[in-house]
Amino acid sequence: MRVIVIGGGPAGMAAAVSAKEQGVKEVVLLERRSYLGGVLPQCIHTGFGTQLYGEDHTGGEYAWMWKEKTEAAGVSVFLGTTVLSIEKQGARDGQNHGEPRPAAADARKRQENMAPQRPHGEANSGEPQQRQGSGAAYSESSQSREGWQAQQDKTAWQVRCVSAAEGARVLEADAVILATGCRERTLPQMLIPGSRPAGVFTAGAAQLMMNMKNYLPGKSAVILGSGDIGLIMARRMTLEGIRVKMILGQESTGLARNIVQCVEDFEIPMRYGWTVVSTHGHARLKGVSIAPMEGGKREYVPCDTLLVATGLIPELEVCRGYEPGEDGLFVCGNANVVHDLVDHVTEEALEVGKMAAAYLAASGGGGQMSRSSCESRSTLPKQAVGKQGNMLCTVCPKGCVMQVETMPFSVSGNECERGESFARQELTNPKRVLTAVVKTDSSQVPLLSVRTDRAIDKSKLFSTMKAVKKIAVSGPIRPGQIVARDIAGTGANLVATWSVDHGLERK
Amino acid sequence: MKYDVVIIGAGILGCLTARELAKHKLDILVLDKESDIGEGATKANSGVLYAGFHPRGGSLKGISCARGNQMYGQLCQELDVPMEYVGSLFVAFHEEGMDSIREKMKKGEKNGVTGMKLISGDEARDLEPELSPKVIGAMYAPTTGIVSPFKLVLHTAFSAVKNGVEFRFDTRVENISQEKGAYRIDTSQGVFHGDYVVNVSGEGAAELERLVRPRDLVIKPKRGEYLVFDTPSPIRHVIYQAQEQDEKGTLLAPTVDGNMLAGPTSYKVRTYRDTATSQKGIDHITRVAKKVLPGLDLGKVIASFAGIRANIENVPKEEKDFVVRLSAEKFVSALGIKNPGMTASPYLAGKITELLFESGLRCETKADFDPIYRGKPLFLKADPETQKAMLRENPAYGTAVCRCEGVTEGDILAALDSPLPPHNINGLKKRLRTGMGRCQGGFCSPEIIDILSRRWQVPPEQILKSEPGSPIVKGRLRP
Repeated sequence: MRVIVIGGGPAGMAAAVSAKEQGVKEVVLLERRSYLGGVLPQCIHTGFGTQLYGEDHTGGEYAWMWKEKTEAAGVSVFLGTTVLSIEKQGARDGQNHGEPRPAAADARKRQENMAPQRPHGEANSGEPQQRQGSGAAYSESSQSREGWQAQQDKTAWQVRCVSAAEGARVLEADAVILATGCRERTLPQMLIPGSRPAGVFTAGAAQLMMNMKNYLPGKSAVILGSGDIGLIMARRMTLEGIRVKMILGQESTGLARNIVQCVEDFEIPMRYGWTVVSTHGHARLKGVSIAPMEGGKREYVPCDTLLVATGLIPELEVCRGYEPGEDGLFVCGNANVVHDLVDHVTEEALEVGKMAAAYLAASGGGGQMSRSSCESRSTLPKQAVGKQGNMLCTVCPKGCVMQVETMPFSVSGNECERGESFARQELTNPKRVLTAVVKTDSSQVPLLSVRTDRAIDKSKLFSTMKAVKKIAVSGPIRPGQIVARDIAGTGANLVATWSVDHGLERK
Repeated sequence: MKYDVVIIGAGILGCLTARELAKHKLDILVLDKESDIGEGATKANSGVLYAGFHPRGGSLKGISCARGNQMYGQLCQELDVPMEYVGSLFVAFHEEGMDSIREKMKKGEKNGVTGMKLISGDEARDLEPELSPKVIGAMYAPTTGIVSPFKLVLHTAFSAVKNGVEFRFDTRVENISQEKGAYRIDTSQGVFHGDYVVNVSGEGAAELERLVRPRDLVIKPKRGEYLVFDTPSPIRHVIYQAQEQDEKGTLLAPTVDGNMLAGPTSYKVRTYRDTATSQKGIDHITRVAKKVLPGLDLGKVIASFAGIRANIENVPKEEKDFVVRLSAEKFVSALGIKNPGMTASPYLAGKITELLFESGLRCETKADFDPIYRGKPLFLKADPETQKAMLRENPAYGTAVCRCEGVTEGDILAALDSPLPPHNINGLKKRLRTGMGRCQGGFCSPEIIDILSRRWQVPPEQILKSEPGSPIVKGRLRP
């Protein structure tokens, strides 16, 4: 019995571990990047695991924890392996068993068959073309069977993938779990007109560049989208000296914690109900025109970088034509539904792993509902914090809105005593955990994400960043290792939240 | 050295002319001010091979379109360019529209278009299930085709190079004069001499012609905007619609890669660099597209772009036509080549070479001219045996970079090593389609910057999106 999990982020890892723990003999995890963790390692900020583990991890720390669980569980991991498509067994000639859509099928054939020229004058007969032998891009199925035999009464799946180590091949499985996450909504998708210069990035791509690739996207930025990733990047850019001129959003959709720690802390101008109506600049972005969404006077904001953080779209491209929920095909994580917290992703994926195992164990049964009815279990208030006497506690995701009075000092509205000490701290000497990256000498992993091991004075964030920028490290380093003691005299140590040269990445 | 022919403009017309001339024993040089082949209208059109019923019957535009259209079958076979005669539907929503369609048929017949026939609204919907129920009738034309403009211009140029043509880029012509019985061409990259000059520089053709003859044509830029829809395309034919409410020739076309294009618009702009899309353009296209395909999901738009036409303004519509002429002795120009320019190009290239030979260019044919060009297949499109060989040659073929379009690191490295290699992200995109998929480069761009930076041994801020001044990133975060 084999389950293939596609995607090695938090969802894929949890589903794989869960399936293995439920007794599935062989669990294979395919990940296209050279590291496990998906989008987590580039999320160098904290906020991961607060609900599930009561810990305030960075994305990388959370990923590392799950990487170790995955290895310990005996999951077979294939890095650098990109899945191209999946097919139900018996579909080797390329015909889907799903509803045929003539235009779609022909377009696919057109894509797969180069240069189907016809003599002039002969119209397209409308018949779907046979896939020519030269179009096939996978090895013969018999070569990839690897001693595995399909169960007679179960649908089997074929997973086409490619890697540098193994080339193009087909892997077979009794069940497939999709944990392929999301892609980001792009500017053209929003039908926003303008020029198409360099300098427009989706927020996640800019995050990857800044936090892992060691690239500086630009010098001055406007951020479109006030969801979490937009706010996180506003802070990240500001700490790195990029001037964030404005954040534009439809409504306040970010975690309240982020409104405080990303926007208010740095006094970044934010406008709700505004959007970008045009981009300017031919070669590189020069500025954007913004306007209220219901219409109104346009304003011009000069900038060389536009970050687009306007939503995530589940990436189910590999299973075109199939519905998760049928015959051993499951989906979990952001590919299923976009989650606010990774904790919920983990919980959902653990369940789905169990479902996959149950599906395999059941005889003749099938058609388990694999689409988790998991809605975001966030109970967070979505309002921005007012300035008069109200305070949002950001110790945990509950985000209690407290009424704080001074002279004499009193706090109400907090659900636990941590709220009161938080309020005291915020009034007298606000503190923040600083997360950043340091330079390494590795060409594969040019940056290492780090954090202070305790909160430091908010007023010392920029001076501490100055010290952080001077640090360069050499591997091997693993999460938790101290990279610098008493950084910038704050009393906090700087610890690694990811790894370098630790065998995690391919050479 | 003195060239026999200097061709100014490496768009589709320039490349086809070069290849045509390369069948003869001639020294041929192609110059372009941009850093790559096909940077003007050639890369920003609908990819449609028009049948030839749009232009005035009997005009050069009409004849060259219909004849050019016919030439694409063989041309694409020789050059390994994906193309398909998908056919078109010219639809009408009212009787006035049907009249206009009948007019088109007459024009088409005069231009030599074959196979056109009128069909009912229901028959049209049989051919295209997504078509509006309000369509009352249509003209079906089997010879309308679609082609990849990128592969077309690239493979034409590669074929020309294979047959001895020389290309020089980043070379802007500043002056043309006569020197010792030949033309002296002063450029930003030095001086060149040629016995004959072919001026096929698109947006620059009118200005260039003025160096050798008094101006008579007023040519101004006119922008056409497009929306690109994700695969799979909801339609199989090219769909035009009769003018009823200012549709301005906006069409819907499937592409050989499975996308659908909607456009173009037609707005006057100030300069040829004014390629930004506009709100009114997007509004126009979406309105027209939804009229034809009421069920169209605008959420499937993944990209938009615009191209600029060289539009002749001082000729009345009833007389307006392509202009291919001897501007001066041994100097041929092609002017006002807007749509159906790409379709007409193979025929116009023939016309240009005819004019050159009539002017005295010697036409001794080459015995070893090789018309065939075979592109290197993408790793993921190759058969298993070829893939094994490719992997042995370079394991990087196994590392997928552009997941949306199926391009691996090995494919990218191979493109960097080919004749007329790309010099920036857009050049790579033109050759491999990296960044043309639904994520629009979100996943692959950082990886591609890595690859190019390593390969070219330059810091990341020197990797350009397109022209100088377009770095994707501004340097290293931690220098």
